[in-house]
Amino acid sequence: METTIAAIATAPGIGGVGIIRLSGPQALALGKAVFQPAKPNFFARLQTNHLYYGYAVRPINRTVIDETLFVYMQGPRSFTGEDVVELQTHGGYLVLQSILEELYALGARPADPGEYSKRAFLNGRLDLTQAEAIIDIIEANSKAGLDAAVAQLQGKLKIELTGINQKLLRILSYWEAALDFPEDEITDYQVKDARTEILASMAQLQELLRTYQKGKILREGLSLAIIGKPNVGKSSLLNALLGENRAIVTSIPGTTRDTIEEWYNLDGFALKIIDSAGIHNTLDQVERLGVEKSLELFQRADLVCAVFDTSTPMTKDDDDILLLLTKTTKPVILVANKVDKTSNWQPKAEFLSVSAKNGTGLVDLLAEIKDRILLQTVAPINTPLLTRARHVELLQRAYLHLEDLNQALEILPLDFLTIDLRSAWQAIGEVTGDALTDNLLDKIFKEFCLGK
Amino acid sequence: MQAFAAGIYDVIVVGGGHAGIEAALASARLGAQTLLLTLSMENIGLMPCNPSLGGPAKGHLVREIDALGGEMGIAGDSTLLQIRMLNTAKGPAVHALRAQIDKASYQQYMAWKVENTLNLTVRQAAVTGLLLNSNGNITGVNTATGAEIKAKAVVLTCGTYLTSKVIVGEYAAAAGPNGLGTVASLTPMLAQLGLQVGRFKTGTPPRIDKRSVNFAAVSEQWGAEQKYRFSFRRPWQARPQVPCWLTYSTLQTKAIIEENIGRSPLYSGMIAGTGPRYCPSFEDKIMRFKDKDTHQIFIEPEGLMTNELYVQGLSTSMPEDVQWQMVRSVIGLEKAEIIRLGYAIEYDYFLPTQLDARLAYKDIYGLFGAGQINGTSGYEEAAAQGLIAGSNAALQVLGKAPFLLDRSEAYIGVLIDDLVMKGVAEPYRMFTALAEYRLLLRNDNADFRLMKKAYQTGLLAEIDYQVFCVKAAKVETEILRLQSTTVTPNTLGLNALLESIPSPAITTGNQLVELLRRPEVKYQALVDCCPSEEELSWEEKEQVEIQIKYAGYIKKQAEQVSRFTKLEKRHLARELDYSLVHGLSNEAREKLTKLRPLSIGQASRISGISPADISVLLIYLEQEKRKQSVK
Repeated sequence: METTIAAIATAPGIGGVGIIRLSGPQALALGKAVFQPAKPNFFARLQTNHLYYGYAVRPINRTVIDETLFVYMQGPRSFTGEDVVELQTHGGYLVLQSILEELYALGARPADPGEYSKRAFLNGRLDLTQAEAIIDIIEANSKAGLDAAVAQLQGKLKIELTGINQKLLRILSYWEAALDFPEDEITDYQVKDARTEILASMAQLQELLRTYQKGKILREGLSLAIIGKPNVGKSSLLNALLGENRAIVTSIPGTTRDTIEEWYNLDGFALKIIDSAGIHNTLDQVERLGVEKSLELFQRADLVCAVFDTSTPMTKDDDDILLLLTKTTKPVILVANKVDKTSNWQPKAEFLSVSAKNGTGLVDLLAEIKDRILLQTVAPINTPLLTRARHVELLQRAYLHLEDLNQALEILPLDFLTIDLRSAWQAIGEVTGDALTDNLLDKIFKEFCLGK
Repeated sequence: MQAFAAGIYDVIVVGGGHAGIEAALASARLGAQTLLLTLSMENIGLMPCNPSLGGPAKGHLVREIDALGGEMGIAGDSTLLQIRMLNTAKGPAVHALRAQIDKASYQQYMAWKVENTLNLTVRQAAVTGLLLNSNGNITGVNTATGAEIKAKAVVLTCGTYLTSKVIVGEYAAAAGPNGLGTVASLTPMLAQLGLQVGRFKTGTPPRIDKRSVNFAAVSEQWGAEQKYRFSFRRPWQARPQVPCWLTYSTLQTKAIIEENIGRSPLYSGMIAGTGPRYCPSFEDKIMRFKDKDTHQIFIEPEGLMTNELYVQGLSTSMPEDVQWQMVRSVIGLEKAEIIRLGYAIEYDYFLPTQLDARLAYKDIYGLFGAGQINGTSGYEEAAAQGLIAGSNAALQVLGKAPFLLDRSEAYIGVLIDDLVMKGVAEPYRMFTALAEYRLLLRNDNADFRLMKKAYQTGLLAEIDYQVFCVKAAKVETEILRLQSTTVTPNTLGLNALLESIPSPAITTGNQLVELLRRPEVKYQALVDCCPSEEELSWEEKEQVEIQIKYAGYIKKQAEQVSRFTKLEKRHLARELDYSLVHGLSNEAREKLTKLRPLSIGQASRISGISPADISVLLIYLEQEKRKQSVK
């Protein structure tokens, strides 16, 4: 860890603040080289974990790049366990990039993906759940997501799981004692009591597992698919929604050639709107492609907004889409567009009437979307959330072991019962980082690719 | 004193207790010229505490020792007074044999065995020092009477005799167990060689006169009728059966302790050594579990030719007058006569983390250690280590590869790995809970697990191995038969049998193996209906039944073992310089340098080594591997 690394610590394009983070033995020297404190004596009495106001400057001629706050966090009591300096600027890709270039010229090395978290983990500053929560923070591009990540970092998940494991350990210790001390007076742990505890632990695990979907939404944002046959006004609806709100953060081409994904900040929730606005079909293929595309988008989305055109009669494609929607458990909002035009439309379900053209009903639509999001992400702050696939896998394994145990309780002898109990206990311990396997490490290091 | 050259051997074993016996026998079996030195010929194989062998995990150890060609199991079978299988209702993994042993006969048997073993010489002598050459390698021992005996390897199995102190109330004396002598000069010498010394404490209850017990007031406990035996290698032998007795301490016993606790050396600060939590003195039980009014007391015979009875559960170091009161407050012991007093004993041990997996001291070439001087307790634990240390001392002298067992192969592997990697905070006792793969490390399959490996190393005699091969073949044949035999509703007597169990009748063709997998269907019932060609012994039947009935769970654990083995196979070089591995915590660097684990798996079990340290090591190994492949 002898090199000093530097990178932009904030997610691209989001928010009014851009942070550059330096970590390593040269962090302070390099940080000072690109910073001009507002008061010259700031550095003379530099303290760890204090904010200093000043300017990011070019070292060669001390010209100002941007207004900047300077924080020094002395190792090992920093996030990576090394000396860390953060430069907080007004953001903007060009500003951040210029500062970084100066730092690289001075000898800092660009950070590998996930290298900060990796250093923190390797320096023993983080346990596994914490390390992963850090990645979540790096990734979190919405406020609620950040809160969930912070809560997990503070150990809410860990506390919850430790609580379960203490219960399991208690039973295990009774049983193990009975096995190793058959001639001693060990009060038998009543199988009845064990069952109660095991069922309670299973319920707790299940509750946690249910939070995964919520956690995922908070972490990755929620994706909203706008579907519908061509020419019902999907793209105008998208433009109208985005046009209503200046919080558009970035626009990147989607994973498929024919879709566009737009990030949208809806009162702190990251909403990813996927639409097929980019589709330009040849005329003879229009109908078929439209339905296929709708289907595909539908699969990928957390929330579906199905758009219909009230100015023309419903077609078989509309019916197909409606049929599809009745079969899903995904939250669906039905939108009747073009209410500005005259209509002889006979609605077959409850529609939200909007006009993408003149803005009618857009506020209601946004409120409806927000309600649907809230339904899926209730109380993110005060409950532990599962946000990682690895945790889900381990806790599912623990759950299955407890299920097996519950079934075996009055049938198999005690030593078999301990096998499942112990395995459940270990699986939960792995989430909190108390156990280690080769596989686990492989997965962790794969996970680190995500953050910066 | 004038030194005199008193012989040259390959291996010298210092101490004739349970560790020393197995060490000397194993070394001799492997063909090394071996000398066993003991303080007292009368006390070879002495059981200074319980006159019993076995119990959970300990019984497993005895069977493993037997599968490795050791003597403890045969000696036990030859001298037992009753034997039982414990935990029969709790599943096959924890079935464990426990036997009461005729103490004097056991010693006599073991003395006869060591006196009559090829390549093995026994002498009575007090070893007072070690001989070393200029490189610091062990070259032999010297004795109190001036003998200098040369050897290429020395195995220390000194038990609780090093600088030991016996304590009864306010009385304390420099002495070994049972009034025997103590050795004061070895600890300072080994400390000077750099070994770190610790101090432990243990204790034993009073022995009482059989004629003074009111047997009408206590309940008798007999051994099993089943022909249980420890040893796979000798036929079952009929032995005279003697009962044990169960009784209870009273509120009066409790009051006596509470009244006199100020006179207890444990509470007055006179005893400094750490005692075992799993084997507390009676005064400890009273003080720590204040709401428990009475405690179980087992009365066990010490032998056929003695009236001495062992009062299990009443281990104490209270003053003599208090011991008399305590004993006489127990139900049925109102008029008991004490023959020997209970006592506590403090003794030196050497931190076992200074040993490697062969039980060789990492920094003193040629020196091995086994038994209580490694910080363990128990005859079985001692014997198991003795076998491994003696084998490896001989193998080193003979220039052969070491004999090692890992945690997935044997309780012995768990025991040694715990000792050398984790160290001990109290006298170490084997528990089944310490084994990760308990269902595989069963009492019934120690021969399947270990005999082939033992035979290949030379620890197990040809004849014993052949007998095992016959058993293994019979078991395999029978399992194949059960897998390939289809029965139908028309099979004579089958559905009637199932109905009588009761178990659902079959309506179509079924393999016998499917029926045996039903929890309620026993193998014996099934073969009564559908007999095998050749009648199996009860042990072979048990093997067939367990292997089939619990196949699912056994397979699951076997999969866990293969994952475990992966980490055990990521080897760490013995000479690896941990100061060159970047990113290790200081604690990890210090511990890895000191303990020198042989694999990532071992390293991960060291306390204070964090997952982060392990990932650093894995990254390091990965880097090294890449460097190698670039070259």
